[in-house]
Amino acid sequence: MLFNSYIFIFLFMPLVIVGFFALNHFGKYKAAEVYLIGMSLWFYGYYNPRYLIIICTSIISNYLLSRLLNMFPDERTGLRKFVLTVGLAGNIAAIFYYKYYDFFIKNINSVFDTSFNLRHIVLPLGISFFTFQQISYLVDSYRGETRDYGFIEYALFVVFFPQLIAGPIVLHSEVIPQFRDREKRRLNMENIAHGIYIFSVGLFKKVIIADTFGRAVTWGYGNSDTLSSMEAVIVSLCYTFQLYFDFSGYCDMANGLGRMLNIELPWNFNSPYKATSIIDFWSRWHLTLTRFLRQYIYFPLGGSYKGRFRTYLNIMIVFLVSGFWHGADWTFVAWGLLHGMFNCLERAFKKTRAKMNMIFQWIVTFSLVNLLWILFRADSFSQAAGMIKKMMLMDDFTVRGDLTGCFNLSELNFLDSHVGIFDILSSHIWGFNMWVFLAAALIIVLNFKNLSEIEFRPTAGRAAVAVFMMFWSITSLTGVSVFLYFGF
Amino acid sequence: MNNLEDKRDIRKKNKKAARWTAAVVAVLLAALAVIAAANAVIDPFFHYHGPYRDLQYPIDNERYQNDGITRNFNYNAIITGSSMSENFRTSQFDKLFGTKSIKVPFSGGRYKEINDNISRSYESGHDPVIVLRSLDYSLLVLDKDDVYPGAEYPTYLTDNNPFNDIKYLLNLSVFFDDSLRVLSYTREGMKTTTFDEYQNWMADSTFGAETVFSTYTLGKPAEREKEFSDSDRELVYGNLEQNVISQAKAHPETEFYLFFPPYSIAYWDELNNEKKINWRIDAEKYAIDLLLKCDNIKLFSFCTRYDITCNLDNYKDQAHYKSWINDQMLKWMSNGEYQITKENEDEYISEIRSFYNSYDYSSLHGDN
Repeated sequence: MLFNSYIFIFLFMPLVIVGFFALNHFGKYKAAEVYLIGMSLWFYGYYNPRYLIIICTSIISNYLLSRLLNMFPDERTGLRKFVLTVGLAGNIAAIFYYKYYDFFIKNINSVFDTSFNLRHIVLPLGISFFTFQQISYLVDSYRGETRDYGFIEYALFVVFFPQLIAGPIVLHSEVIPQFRDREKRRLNMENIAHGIYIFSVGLFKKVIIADTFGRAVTWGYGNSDTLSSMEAVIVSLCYTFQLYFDFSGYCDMANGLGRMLNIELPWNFNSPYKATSIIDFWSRWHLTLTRFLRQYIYFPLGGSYKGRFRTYLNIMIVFLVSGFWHGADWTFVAWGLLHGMFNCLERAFKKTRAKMNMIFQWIVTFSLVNLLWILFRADSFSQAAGMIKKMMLMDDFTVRGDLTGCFNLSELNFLDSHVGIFDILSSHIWGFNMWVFLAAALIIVLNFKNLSEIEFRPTAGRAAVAVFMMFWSITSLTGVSVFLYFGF
Repeated sequence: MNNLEDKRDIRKKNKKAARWTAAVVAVLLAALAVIAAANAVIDPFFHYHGPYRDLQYPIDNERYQNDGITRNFNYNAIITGSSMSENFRTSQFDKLFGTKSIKVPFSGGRYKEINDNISRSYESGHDPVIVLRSLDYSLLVLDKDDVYPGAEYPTYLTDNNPFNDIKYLLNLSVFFDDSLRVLSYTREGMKTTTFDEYQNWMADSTFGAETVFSTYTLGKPAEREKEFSDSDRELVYGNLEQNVISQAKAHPETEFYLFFPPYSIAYWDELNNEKKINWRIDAEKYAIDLLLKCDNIKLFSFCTRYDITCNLDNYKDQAHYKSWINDQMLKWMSNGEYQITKENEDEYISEIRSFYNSYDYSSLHGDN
């Protein structure tokens, strides 16, 4: 199930909130946890119930392994290490099989000229997230930090629906204590109101902003051969915005949902496009992933305490893993490694950089991030190279109606033709709606406060914003598709 | 005391938040209800009812409106098919056949899509006496469940699940682009689109050899003749059985007028280049054998009207012909002309085989 769906908004969300607090109200605390687990599994298995087997197997085996780790006394380091290794290997094997099997076989086939069959395995929803979450749990169990968790608590920590399929990647230490807190089991209308507000902003970011940019991106990458330089630039910017609004919108919704249930989830974004360096960018983008990589890979490798060379090597390893985690393709690996490389370069030239003008630094950072997202989105290196080449050549400034048309939402067209000022602007400025979207997105990412920073009060203004955003988003969940007619 | 005040304060805040939440939910639901009511009452896709007398409806969206037209209009005959049927005029059809017809064609529609739509007619309590339907050769040797890949289908309109109607009712695009358009259309004094006009592309098209040749390029000529294989035969059987014949068998009270549209010589030109002429004719022969087993199927083909097919002035591409040909075909069909029967089938097949195999295709490209 997706947050941005009718069934979630009109059925799942009310059911989960009412059911959870009703059970708690009558003192059925365990039942409330089980109810949340059950609802989360429904949420997870909605599109493909078969994947419930995968997630349940994963949860049960990881829990048993962590119990085993806790059973052995600390002195038995060898045995504990062995169990941890088995656990890590098992999790990595699972993610490898579901996410990287075909990628691996394709590479074997092309290097050794073999013809092993691909399996075309459909990636179970959120496997990258729940696997990382459980790896962190196993490692913490090995470190002796998880001693007294019960199975239900553990299962709820993994399947808790707000963060299940797209993060944030939460740590047991930040949610399980919240699940245990009886104070948090009482309906808190302030949190409900605040949660609704956050959810509506997230929904709007996803449905109205990201999905509109997404249409332009789909068109642009589908026609990458024929793009003009200007179109390539616009499409690349659209993707940069789409990705941010999509992912952060989704995380906002997760956060809002958590809040409605009195659970505070960590924030995943901190205005990443305000960053003035790549290092800065990574301290603002997908924070819970960065935290995971730092705590469970970078630090164990020695972090920055083993000399300069090892520091750079560790950074590159972390970004290599990050690249792979994002997708099973060499383009993702290259994207990760390039980010790693820029990170190292920034460290190496820290002093020179410090002397540079901030606006200049922002421009360089934003451009780099934007260029690297091309690699992230492109289907192949050649497509990415083609796009970048076009952007660099700057020889053709044509912007076709196919691209501008992606932004012509029915309601905006209506506004353009019925409101004087919009009528004038849209008839004089080619692609008016597109420029409005791009400008608005830029203004939002550079000037708006993070949702986490906004002190929420249930005012009429906030109510109007919430209703407006929810209304526009819900009524835009389904569009009317255009059937292009090619031949027959 | 402080504790008490704190508690009171919390209660107050909670109350305020509760009021805020209730207001947000209430206003949101009310606003959504307005949109849903507007879309349901105006119903631009005829999902719940036919056109209201006081409102005038633009009809121009096959995939979104045909299902509603089929279920909720009053009629006793259907003209359907692919774009080969789009230029038919129901007024002429009704005069010739004495019916009250609707036209519900699907651009690029595969056999299944068209058949599924015909089924909706019966399901909704209609009992058409005639179904007139084009059968495209180009879509004959195709998987029985193939769908036109143009865009996402509005299956929420064509299934029987009332819950997913929410996608229609709470749809801002439908509201602005369709429901409000009905109102402005009515206000401006326009009239509901007639089935003569509906999807008729005659006026918007350019015809002639030059246009036709600009729509295709011949690849490298095939080296070997393509044979009509057993798997091709299975495809044709599956496609016709599921999407044409079973419907005819289930409804003996309906007469199915089916026709193979007269594609132009440019179509045959490409087949010739690919050495597929005989493959294509073999497929047609097999299809005819299957179709003629049903007594309520009347099958027509106009490929032998070489004066039409070989004159590219009649076409805008390899297949799409001018609307006078639609008019003409209706007349012929109403008179039983160019009907293929068990008696004349072999003669027809050998005639087209001989003509299209011996045609001098190089003459087409003489001037190009």
